[in-house]
Amino acid sequence: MQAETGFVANDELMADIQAMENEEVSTQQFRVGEAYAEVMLEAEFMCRFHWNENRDARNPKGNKTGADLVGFIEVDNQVLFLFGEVKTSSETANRPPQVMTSADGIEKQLRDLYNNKQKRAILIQYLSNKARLFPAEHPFRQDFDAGLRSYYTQGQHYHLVGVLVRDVPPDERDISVSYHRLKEQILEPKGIKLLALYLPIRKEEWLPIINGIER
Amino acid sequence: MSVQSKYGHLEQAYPDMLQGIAALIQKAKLATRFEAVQLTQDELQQLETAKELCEVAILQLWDNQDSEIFKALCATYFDITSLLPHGEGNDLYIYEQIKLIALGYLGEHWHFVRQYLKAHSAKIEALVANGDWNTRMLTLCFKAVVYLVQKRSWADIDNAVSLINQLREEQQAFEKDFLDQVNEGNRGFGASELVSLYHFAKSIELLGQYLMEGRPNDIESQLHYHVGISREFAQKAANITLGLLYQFFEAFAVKMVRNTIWYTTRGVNNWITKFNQFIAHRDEKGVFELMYPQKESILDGQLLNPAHRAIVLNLPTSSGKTMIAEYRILQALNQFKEQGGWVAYVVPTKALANQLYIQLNKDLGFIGIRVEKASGAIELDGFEQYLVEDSGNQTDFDVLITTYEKMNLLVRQGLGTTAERPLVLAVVDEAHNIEEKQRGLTLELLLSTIRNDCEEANFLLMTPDISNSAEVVDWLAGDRGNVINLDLDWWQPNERVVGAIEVSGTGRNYDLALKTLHTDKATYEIGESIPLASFSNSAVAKREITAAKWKIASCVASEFLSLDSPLIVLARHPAETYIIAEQYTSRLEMT
Repeated sequence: MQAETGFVANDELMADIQAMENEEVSTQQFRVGEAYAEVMLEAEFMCRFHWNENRDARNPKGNKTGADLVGFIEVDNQVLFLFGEVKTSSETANRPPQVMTSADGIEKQLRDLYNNKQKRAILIQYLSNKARLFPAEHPFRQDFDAGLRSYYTQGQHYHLVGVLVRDVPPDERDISVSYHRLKEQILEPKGIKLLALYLPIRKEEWLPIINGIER
Repeated sequence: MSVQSKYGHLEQAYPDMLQGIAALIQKAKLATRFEAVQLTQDELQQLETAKELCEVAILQLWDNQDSEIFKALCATYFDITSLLPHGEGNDLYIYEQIKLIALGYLGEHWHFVRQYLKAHSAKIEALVANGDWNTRMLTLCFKAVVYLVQKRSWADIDNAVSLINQLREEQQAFEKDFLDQVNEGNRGFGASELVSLYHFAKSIELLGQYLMEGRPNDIESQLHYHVGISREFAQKAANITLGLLYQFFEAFAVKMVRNTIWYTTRGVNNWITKFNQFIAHRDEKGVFELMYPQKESILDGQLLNPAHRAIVLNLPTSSGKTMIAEYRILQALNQFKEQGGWVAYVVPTKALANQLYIQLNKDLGFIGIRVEKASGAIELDGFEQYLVEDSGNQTDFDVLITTYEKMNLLVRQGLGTTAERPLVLAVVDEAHNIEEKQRGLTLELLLSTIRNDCEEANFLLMTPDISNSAEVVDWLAGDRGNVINLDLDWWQPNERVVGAIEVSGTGRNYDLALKTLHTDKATYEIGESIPLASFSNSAVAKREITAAKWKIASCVASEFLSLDSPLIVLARHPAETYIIAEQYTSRLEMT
């Protein structure tokens, strides 16, 4: 890098890059939560995710553009853009867990997506930039065109989804507080869903099971 | 040809969502000029929507960047976005600005991009780069890009390169702190973002180097290489905003390279290389980049192809025709200078001849081209007498600037007709005069004389428009003629409104309004009249104002009088000009 750009390839910088490159996708636990969320949304809520790429803006401070879920949802035979956030938590000391209510928790992230039109515009540009690579008859292109139409002809009609993935016993309080706060502001007419998925397997075991490693 | 055809592409892309948007954009343009034109909140919202949809349409056509629709959409995006407020916060503001610059370039609007940056220079200069190292990198890189676009002289480009070097020096002081404050699990993302920014900075430096000296030769592949790495690491950093920013920057950078004098005229001949070196490195008004009509004329229009004996150049006023002529002149001289060949630059008026003499001397004199003028009326002065003696065989100028009439006289006396001092190129400015009754005859006679008597002569006819260009080149050069027109018929070097003034009311209470008119020159047009001024109990009655057109013009102009911007009022004769000037002077003194 140094010879090419004139910037120094410091050891620490290179070590951070190397560590990330060495980290296999199969060892990234947060991806499991996102995968659960996508599968559930596709199976139960007529959602479609055509672009299978890590979209999580996990850059420093996590305050950039981006969303964990970027796809489409069909509501009343109408295709809408879907933007969403996913968090995984085993916390039981607080109900709801802090990943719902903290400064970078789901509730705050969804409120940002609602309030920040520019953030949504960038997500739409991002989708547009991916969709153009597919042929016109591909479902991705068709969903994109339909979502665009809903968004721009109906006063920005779209859908927000927050998914909390848990490995502890179910408790309605996990999402009810946030839901009531959010729905006051943004349930109608935009549409919002908050889901909690309770898995009967401890999260430490998810990766070994997925990777076929017996314990 | 109209602005409607430029904005119409966006409307056609989303007919049910953006109906009437072409008219609204024009209204928004006029709102920046006339206080009486105001946009409603709803209209501003429609423009926001149009901007976002325009961007989607542009991305859909991203692989067809040479298509006219793509360029029109990019130009439209620039026009809309430059009218709207921009995002807050360094990162998003910079992202929006780089996109605006890039799409402005891709829409062949770099002359407007420069104006825009000049108008917003205070905000850009005020951008603080005190934050984290990644934000500091992005902010200073952006400022460097702005220098490269502005490039008022080589010093600006030097400033851009210096900013990148400054970042290199700061790396050790900032990088570690930045990485240390990133959450443990996110360090790889933070590091990736930095690597992407380092390659971005390098590509800006490369672009600056190329603008300065036309090197490295493989600039495009080097840019693709570095921006490619930037994009790869933006993806690893999971930063989709940066990823999109690099995509826009890459297209912009390649476009800028291809606009340069170096890229457009590389390897034509030594004179042109010397000329390029001179105009790029002079202290003031350095020229590095060609405007769209200049580039199109040279590349698509084959301006420098010696096979074309006669070229008609149909370009709008102020699109840099003089410089196009200079390239053609250098090409002709390169071919024939050794054989005593010379170029005539003929213009309709003495004033223009004098102006061009100064300009060409400044541009070509420094590289060793001798420029002379002969602009007297019918009589010959000493120099001109010398010109015709011996058919000018003893003269040593390379370019002679003169009027149609004078050139007629000189050629008829033998100048340019001999093998020792052949006229090799006649550049005819304002050639549309050929369609006028009186001047047309003189010009036609001149062209006919040159065609018959000057064996080696080629022709370059420059005009905003000649209706029968094809016939003219055919007459002058048979099948070796060429007509150069712009592909983008909506392209204009400046923005204009053409309108008529309406005076309504009675007695001492009356209003002045501007009714925009439809033209074929890409001017802005809105349906409703624009109120300009309202008088109640005025000292001057309406009938006095409307007694003569110049009085109406003068009255309107006085409402816009400002020492900051020039204003031209046309009068019928000198006496009227004095009356108008005196009115304005007393008005300015009062204020």
